[in-house]
Amino acid sequence: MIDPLVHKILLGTIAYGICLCLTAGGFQLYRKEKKSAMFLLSAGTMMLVLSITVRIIRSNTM
Amino acid sequence: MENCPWQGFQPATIKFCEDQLCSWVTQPANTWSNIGFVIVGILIYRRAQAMKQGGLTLIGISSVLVGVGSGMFHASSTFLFEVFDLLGMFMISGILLCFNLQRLTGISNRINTAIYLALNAASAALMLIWHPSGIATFAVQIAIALTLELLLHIRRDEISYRPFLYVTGIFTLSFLIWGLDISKMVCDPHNHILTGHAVWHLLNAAAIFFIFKFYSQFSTTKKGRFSLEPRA
Repeated sequence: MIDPLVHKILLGTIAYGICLCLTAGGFQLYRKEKKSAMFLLSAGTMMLVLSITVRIIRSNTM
Repeated sequence: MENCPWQGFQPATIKFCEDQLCSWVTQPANTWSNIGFVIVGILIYRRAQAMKQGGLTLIGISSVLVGVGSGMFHASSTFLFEVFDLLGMFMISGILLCFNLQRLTGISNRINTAIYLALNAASAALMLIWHPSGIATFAVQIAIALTLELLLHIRRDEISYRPFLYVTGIFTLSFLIWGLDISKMVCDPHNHILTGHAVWHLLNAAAIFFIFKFYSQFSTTKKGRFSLEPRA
């Protein structure tokens, strides 16, 4: 059980983290920092996929 | 829940998967699992002292306080100890934020200490005004600290990020487990031995150790500031 506003802030923070990783990854790719770019892009993508999966499972079980 | 030991106290603002028992330890699994924070905290404190890194002992002290505060919170399920639990968590997120701020801007130890104390006081005050704000404040502070780390990574990449990768990996996994537990998606309320939240505690104790490993790359004593040069 969690306060609805706190829940929104947490979701917002996760969304911010995903955007941050993807943007920074894109920027590193532009600077040809391949190792760093790959890590940031895969971290962002992994978080995005994980969030969508959890969301789908939750909407199907609730 | 009549005649329970913690009955007279204001209840906590948050409820996890594990059922609350009418006893001195209301959530056994969520309580015992805090031992990891205490063990890791003592280990960090001793290592930091041996390395003569005064600033890093704060990570050890905070970890012990998180363990004790969180243990009392889950044992009692009261708002009073929820405050203590979150104060320990703010100390950890505040360390990340202020250490990174100092690395990025080169501000003096004195100013950074003032920022650290003000940050913790403001977080605690916000929680007393708006009770459920604790976790949100912690999450926002972690997000800011990660943003600063990302800026440092983009600006200059002269340090080992291996411990940092361990921290982010462990924290992401544990946060997922925390979410599955609190939303009751993966949940057995009658299991008082191991719960998702207990796993969150144990994994985060490991994450705190790698936070220490990461920051032990820097000197906290040299000219009173962080140095990106490897320590002697």
